[in-house]
Amino acid sequence: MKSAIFNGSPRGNNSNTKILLTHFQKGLERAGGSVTSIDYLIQEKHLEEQVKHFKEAETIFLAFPLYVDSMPGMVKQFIETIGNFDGSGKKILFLVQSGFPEAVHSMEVKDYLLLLSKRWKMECLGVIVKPGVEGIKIMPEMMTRKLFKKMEFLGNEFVTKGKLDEKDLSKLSGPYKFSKFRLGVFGLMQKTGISNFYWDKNLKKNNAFEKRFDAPYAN
Amino acid sequence: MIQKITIVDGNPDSGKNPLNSFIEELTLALKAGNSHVDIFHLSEKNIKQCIGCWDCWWKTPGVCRFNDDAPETLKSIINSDLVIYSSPMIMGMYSAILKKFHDRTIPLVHPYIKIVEGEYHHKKRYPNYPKMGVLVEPNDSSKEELELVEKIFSRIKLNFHSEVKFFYSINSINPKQLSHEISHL
Ligand SMILES: Cc1cc2nc3c(=O)[nH]c(=O)nc-3n(C[C@H](O)[C@H](O)[C@H](O)COP(=O)(O)O)c2cc1C
Repeated sequence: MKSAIFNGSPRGNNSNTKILLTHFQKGLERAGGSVTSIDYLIQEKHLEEQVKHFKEAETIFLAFPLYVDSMPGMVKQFIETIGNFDGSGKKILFLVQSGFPEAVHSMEVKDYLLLLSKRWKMECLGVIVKPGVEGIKIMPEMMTRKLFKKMEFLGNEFVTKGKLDEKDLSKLSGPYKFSKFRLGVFGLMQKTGISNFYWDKNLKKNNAFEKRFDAPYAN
Repeated sequence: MIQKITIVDGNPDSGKNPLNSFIEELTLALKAGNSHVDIFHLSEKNIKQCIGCWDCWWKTPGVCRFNDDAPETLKSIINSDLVIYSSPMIMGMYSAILKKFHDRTIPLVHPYIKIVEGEYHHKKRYPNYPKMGVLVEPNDSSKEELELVEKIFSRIKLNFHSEVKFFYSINSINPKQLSHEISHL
């Protein structure tokens, strides 16, 4: 199985999207699949090449962070550039990863991606949803190791089964919402690696802590 | 009462077309009803893609590192009673230029988390947020695509401490009716 990867994070090379993709790719390659290209959509100067890779790909893997309850504007831009392309015979796979810890935030964009696959007449092999990702660079290794293993597992499954199992996808995305019991500041830290403390630490580092409640645009 | 209104026009096509005529007539009708209306045509603006740096949350709280045309639009929105987002449906979704603008609205909220309707959301940065209205030109979109866009806006409103007061296709209402409806919000 030959795949063309499109990284739709505005952070490009420094993105969490890239970290997750790397582990997926490891599993994919170990199972005998191959990646034909990796494009960073933030690099708009390579648009022509990106479109070419998209239109020539056997299998497309479009991955991005959730931005304001949907895809980043630049990803929508890319979708508009591709337009109502007839991708009959092609396959497509998506990854949506996000900051908040519940899957509920990503359900609409997931449904949109399913409709988009129909517009492109492509077979959708799955939409990977992974919430609570913003903290992966600061989480203890113990927490990320499991996640990376799961991504690797999916990469493997993608090649061996030719699609992703709904059960494995929902295991990865976790609960739709948390029960009242699991909510709260402590739960937050456990789920995302990020709490208000994380923002405070960075505000202080930037000498901006006293200004954290500034409302500069209020009349 | 709705006195100040900001219209964020996400139509990439600035020529003569049904959505632009609708917005023009709506603006006239609202002004005739003594509302103050600010309108931002995103197609004429320079709005950079957010790069996810968090400067607006932890370095210069409330202010983005990019000093392009987004800040003046945000300033107008946060001081309004109602913000109307308008867009043609393109590939089953609102336009990329409107989406890019939405990505730039995060300076309006605070990084701290709170639980809203049993979900994680960000705290307010400002005491008041405008109500929201949405106008779309359906083009080739399906019923399912339109419904999804409406649902996305009802998620956005949770993150922006707002309410969606209306979501209309421009084929289902005329500007005068809508202006009348707004005056009764
Ligand atoms: C402008 C902006 C908007 C975001 N909107 C959401 C959102 O609506 N819901 C959410 O759960 N996370 C949201 N996030 C968090 C990102 O999805 C999260 O940080 C992600 O891991 C970033 O991935 P990347 O490093 O690959 O870009 C947003 C981040 C930014 C910068």
